[in-house]
Order: sequence, then structure tokens, then C-alpha cells
Amino acid sequence: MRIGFLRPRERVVAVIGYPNHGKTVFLAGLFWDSFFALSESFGDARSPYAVRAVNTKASEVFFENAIVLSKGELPPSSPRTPPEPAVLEVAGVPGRDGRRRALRLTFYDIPGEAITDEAWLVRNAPFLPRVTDILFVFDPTRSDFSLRALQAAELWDKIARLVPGAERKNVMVALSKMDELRQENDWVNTLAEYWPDISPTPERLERYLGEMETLSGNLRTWWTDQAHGGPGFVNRIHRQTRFCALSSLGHQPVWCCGACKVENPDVRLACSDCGEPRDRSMPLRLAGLPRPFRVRDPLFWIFRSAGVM
Amino acid sequence: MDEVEVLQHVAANVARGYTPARGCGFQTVAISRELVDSEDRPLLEDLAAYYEVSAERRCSGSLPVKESLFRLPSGRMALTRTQDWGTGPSGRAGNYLSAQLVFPPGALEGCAWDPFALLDAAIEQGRLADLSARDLPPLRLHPVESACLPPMAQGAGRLAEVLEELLTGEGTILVVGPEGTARRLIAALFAVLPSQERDDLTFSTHFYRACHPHRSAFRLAAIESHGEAPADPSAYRIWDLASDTFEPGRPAGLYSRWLAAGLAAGRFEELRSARAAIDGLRAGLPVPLPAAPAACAAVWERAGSVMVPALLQNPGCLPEVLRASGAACSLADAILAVGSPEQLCGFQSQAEGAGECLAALRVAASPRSWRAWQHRWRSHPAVGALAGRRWAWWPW
Repeated sequence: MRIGFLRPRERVVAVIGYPNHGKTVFLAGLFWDSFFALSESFGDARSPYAVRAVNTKASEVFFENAIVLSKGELPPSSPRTPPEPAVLEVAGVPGRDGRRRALRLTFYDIPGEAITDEAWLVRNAPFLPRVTDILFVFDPTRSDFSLRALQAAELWDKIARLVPGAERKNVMVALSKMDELRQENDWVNTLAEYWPDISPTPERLERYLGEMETLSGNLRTWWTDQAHGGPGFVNRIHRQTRFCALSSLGHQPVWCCGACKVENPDVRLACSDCGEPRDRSMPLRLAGLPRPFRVRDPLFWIFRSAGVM
Repeated sequence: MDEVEVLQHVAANVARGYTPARGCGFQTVAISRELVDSEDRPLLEDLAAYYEVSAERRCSGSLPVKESLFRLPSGRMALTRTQDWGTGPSGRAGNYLSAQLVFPPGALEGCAWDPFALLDAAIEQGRLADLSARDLPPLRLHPVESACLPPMAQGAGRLAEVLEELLTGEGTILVVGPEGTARRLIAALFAVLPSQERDDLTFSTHFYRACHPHRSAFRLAAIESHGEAPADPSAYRIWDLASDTFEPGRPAGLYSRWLAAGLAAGRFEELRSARAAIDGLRAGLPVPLPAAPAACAAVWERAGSVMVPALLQNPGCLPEVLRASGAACSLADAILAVGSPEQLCGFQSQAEGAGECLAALRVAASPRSWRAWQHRWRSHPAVGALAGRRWAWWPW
């Protein structure tokens, strides 16, 4: 039994986004990064950085999906059922004052199909008024992104109605699948200096946090500069909203051509070698181990908001 | 059994569903027009989405098939089969297809149908595995009875108590064990339960943790292991097949004990015969009673006093039936209420058989009922023979 003042601080995080925008893979990538990268770079003999799954759901969402990634597969799609709390305990978080603190994070991975159904959310997401952190995950690689700006704005309004005091919550907007975009004109300048990602040490932490601030400002500008609704979304969320750009896997998943067995990136609709159309029944695979890019940024924003970093 | 016309609903994770504006995701793919704007659609869509597989089972390749029967707001019944369907539009595993059949109210009353065979027939006939967005016409199906079923071996020890809870209790019974065992039990119950009891038998196989909010829709739910159970087990009556434990509640009645013994031993013809007798008696039809006294006694517990006229057609079985019923007072009282020794014992009222019958009734009946009947028929020789020595109340 932990004495009250020794209990870690607690945060409730709602992960929100449309279907297939990368929420579940993000959570798996986040855990992967904490388990393999941060636990090493934040190593400390006395208070090592460590993550622990507190409940069964957390084991499924984090550990088991990370195991799936280690096998070169993608986690299965989340079912459209009421989200269950997945509780992680993070210990040994280095603060600016040199002290190490712990934090308990309860994640709710809200099904993408349900996010537009306000009645469903009222019935099945009673935890929303208790959230402390709201993380919107958007996939900017989709061709209908301008439509998504409208939908993002609508989504924010919906969440604001369901979460009392939403404007005072720690809100983060994360653009996922940056591995597909970083070579494109819009993104080359924004991301080039940050790629590849290096997990910060406590000594480099201050600099890393500065990079996060700079990147957030650049991404806010990117959203605002987008035609067809970008400013309409940015203007309605509060100025303290943080923007992140990340890649949960570090590379595009691939599919294997049934005819010639050549691996093709997810974005291709036909085989690059023989031209055979993609067989949609074949599952995507990873071309290598995950190398997440800046998946820790939303986590660090949560740490900052909680006062532990 | 007559043909039944059913409506259909199919849901899966698709790039484009029945409502294109919804975009990509798990949603209605195809639906009968009559259901589109109905009050039943929200619950159909809600429950279609409940399918989860643990990482362990996904790794093992042993992917469950979830079948369920539940009541809709309109009074219709929905029969559903949900199963893994490979990859979704994103190329990730975890897609699943939910095929739902919607029956009109009362369509299946009065017939002992096999829900699993009906699903097989519907899916084959209705092309429900086709994921193209479209309207689905009503299906005409012919319900069939369950074929001969194997005996229930696992969990037989507690089966009587479970059946008693199912027939007389409320809430959800959670069966923990191989889902195939629960499925066989459900199929067997649909074959042998009388119509009235069968109509209340809502069920769900593969009732994974997340299904908890909808537990009130199901009287019987099955999960493979305790690891898949909802977080709040206190909301359920849990029957663990492996350890054969069931939280003791009300003691099992005669019918539940007899039914459990019959299921465990595989005496399905006897159980079906009793089912037909109960249904017939309740409908006021002249039906033959089961030959076995124990079965007759079990029928009495379900059918009640409507059974008495049929019992009197074969008064020779009365002593054994009374013994098999554990000398059920209510049965004896109901028989005595009918009338004279001739009515009770038929043509044997003057013979030894009548004496045995009346003696059995005397032992089983309540003292009040017996005295009243005895006083009413005191002049009958058979009754007089049972009267015994009379003592004058005066001392001289």
C-alpha cells in the first residue's frame, strides 16, 4: 500500500482520431520507444526510467501490441466497443530540477468510428469529463485532408461539449505517419533537422524540449497555412495547444505481391515489379523493427503539464 | 415447422458502407430496407460491434465465432453470428463480419428450432459474406430441430442448479470454459426446453470483457477463460466448467434435476417427449404423457394442474409418479380436487390397484385436502376401507 503523498501523480489521456489514422499503432510505438529507447537514454542507477502495465487492458494495448510489432506485424484494428482504461505507470521521469518522479497514465483509445457519434460517446465514454489530456491523432497522408480540417474542427467542438473545461485541458494535436511525408516539399524543411530521432539523455533534455516547442510552432503555422479550413481549426482551439509530428513505426508498412513476392510500400496500389494489383486480403507487415520518430513528444507534453518534467 | 421470413443486417470494417458519408470503419454494410429507419437498428449496430479476441487466441489462430440471440426494442428477436474476417481496409488484421437475422415477434414460438443450423442456412442462402454495400431482401428460412446431440459431460455436476437459475432466476449466467461446450448446451436446451422457457433463452457465446454493458440482453453468456471475464464478476452468476463450480443459490427443483440428468445421459428422446407434452398441455391439447414416472413428475412441475386430466387417463402410473415427484403435496392435492374415486382410479376403483393409488395419494396430499376429500366420499367403499377404526369422542 502506498502512502498518499508517495503515490505517483495521475493523468487521464483520451486518444482521439478517425479510423485508421494511427491511434492504436501510436500507443504501441509510444510504449516501444519508452521500453527500448527512453529506458536506456534516461538510465539512472537510483531511479531508472521504467514503464509498467498496471492492468490487463494496458498489457493488451502496450505489451502485446509491442510484441506484435517485434514480430514484424501490425497490431489488429481496435473493435468498436466502449474504450477501457489502459493504465501505465511511468517511473524515473527526469525533471528539470534533476529529481526523478513517477506518473500514472490512464489511456483511453476511443474507436475512430465512434468519434462522430455524440450519443454513443455520452453512453460509452463517461470518463470524458475526467480527462486531463486530449490527444488528437491525424493522418495527413490522406488525400482528403482538407476535408479532415473541417472534420477536425467539428470534432473539437464535439469534444468541447462533452468535456467540461476542455479549453483548460492539455490538448495536443499529433500528425502521424511522418515517414511518408518527410521527403515532400512541405515537410523537408520542417522535419529534416530532427530526422532521425535520437532519444534524449537527461543532459540533453532541455534542448529536446526546446525542439518540441519549435516544432509545435512550425506545425501550427503549417496548419494555419493550409487551404480549406486549416485556420478554421487552429483558431478554435486554445493557444496552449501543442502540435506534434511523429511516426509510430519510422517506416511505411509493406505488402507482399502474391504473384512475384516483391514487397511494396502501403501507399502503392499495384506491384512495382510486375504490376499485379494489390490483394487487399493480404495483411500489411513491417519491413523491419520499428524506429519510432518523436512518438515521445506527446508523452513529454503530458509530463510537462503534470509538472514531473 | 413453417417457413419464417427474416430481415437481415450485415456489418464489417469496410472502406465504404451502406451510408457512404460515414467513410471508412466498422459500420453497416448491407441491410433490409424495413430495418433502415426502425427503432431496432441502433441496437443491432451497437451489438454487432462487440467482438474482441485476446492476443493469446489471435496468436494461436483459434479465433472465436460469436453467436448470440437477443430481444430488440420492437419485440423482434435478433440472431447473430460474428467472426473474424481477416484484414480491414487499412491492411491490418482484426476485421470482423457480423451477420444478423431479425425475426418477427412470435415467429419462432411453438417450434423447437436450432439457432446454429438456422444461421448456417441463412449465411449460405443470403450471401451475407458479401461486403458490398446494398439492400438485403428478406430471407425465407425453414427452422429445423437440433439433430441428435452428444451428452453433456463437462460441468454435469452443477447443471441442475444452473438450469434452475436459468428457469426461475434473473440476471446473466456466465459460463466459463470451452465455448464449444456452452454452444452444445445451448443447442441442447433449444431442443428440449418447452416453448415458454425457450423464448426467454437469450444467449451470447464468446462474451468478451467489453460486452459487460450489454449483459442484461443475455440470460446465458459464455467465455473461454476467467481472463476474458468482465471486470465486475459480481454482476454475474458464474459457472466454471473446469472446476464444476456454481455459486449455490436456489436449490434445483425436480424439473431442473431431471432435465440435467437427461442432458448428461443423452436421453434426448425422453426430453423431447416431455417438451412436447408440456407444450401440448399448456395449449390445452390432448397429448400423451411420457412413459417414465420421473419424466411425468418433471412435466407436472412445469405444466401444473393442467396435467391432471391426462394423468387420470392412466391412473396406474399415479403411485410411481407421486413417488418420483418426491410425494409432491401440490400434485396430490390437485388430483384430489378432481373428484371421485372412480375418476381418480378409473375402472380399478373396486380393486386392489385403487387401494394402492389412494394410499399413495393419502401419503402425498396435505392433511386438509385428504380429510376434505375423504369426508366428501366417505360412503365409497374404497374410501371407507382407508378410514380405519373410528374412535368415539365420548368416553362411555
